[in-house]
Amino acid sequence: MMLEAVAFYAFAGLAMVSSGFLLAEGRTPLSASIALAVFGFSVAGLIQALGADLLAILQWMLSLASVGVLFVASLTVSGLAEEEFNLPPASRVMVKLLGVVAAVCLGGALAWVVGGTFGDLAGEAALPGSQAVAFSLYTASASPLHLLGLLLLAVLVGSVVLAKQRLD
Amino acid sequence: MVPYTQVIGLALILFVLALALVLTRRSLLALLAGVQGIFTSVCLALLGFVRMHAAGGGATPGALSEAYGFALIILAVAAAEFALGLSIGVAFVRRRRSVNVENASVLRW
Repeated sequence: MMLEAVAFYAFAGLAMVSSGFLLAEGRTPLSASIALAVFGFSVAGLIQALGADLLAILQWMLSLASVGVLFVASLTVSGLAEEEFNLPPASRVMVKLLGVVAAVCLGGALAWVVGGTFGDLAGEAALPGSQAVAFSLYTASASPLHLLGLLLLAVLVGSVVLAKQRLD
Repeated sequence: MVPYTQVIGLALILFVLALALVLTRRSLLALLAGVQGIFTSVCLALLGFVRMHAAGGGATPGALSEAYGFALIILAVAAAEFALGLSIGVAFVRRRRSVNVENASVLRW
């Protein structure tokens, strides 16, 4: 329980800092997409810390997908040349150190999740598992689910049409 | 155990920050990020309310499952919005050579 609270407050701080950065400083597409990545992952961590495992996994996947796409799009939009990524040696060391710290944190979070010690609410109240959520989606929420399928199909077609549009 | 009031309060703060981002910035990517933030903060608020009802014991397991399913639908809608917004953004950048939404002052391209 203590672990859950620590994770919650850590991810909450990260989410607030990243959204504050987006609001105040995220002027370039690249910095905005990195801040959005941190925001998405911290919200996924928050949801995981609250014990909603199914939603947390979906949020992790959504964050990964959106960040990957947004990162590529922001590189395309900003038109950064390759030489602009050549950092000075001191910055390179800092970037490597940050990478190692991020890898250790992510590895620890993964071990935590796999170990099953993350967000256990069973003692307080019986929260629904994935089977109960799926049952609810296919019974009580069947109409919204069908509408969601139609919406996703429309989005898929619309995205392809917009992306393949020829310029005059 | 994190109190549900803190979860709902955090969701409110994130919602306000994302709304301010949408209202103050003119960059297309920042607007997308703001809308994404609004969706995720609403999802977080929903989880806070689920926690509130679960802790109070006033909700049936079926109702809690429905709330989780609703949060899942919110996340899926957020993904759809993001995909469509990004493709509109790419088309806009290709046509206007800019990410400033002030350049899109008419509905006809």
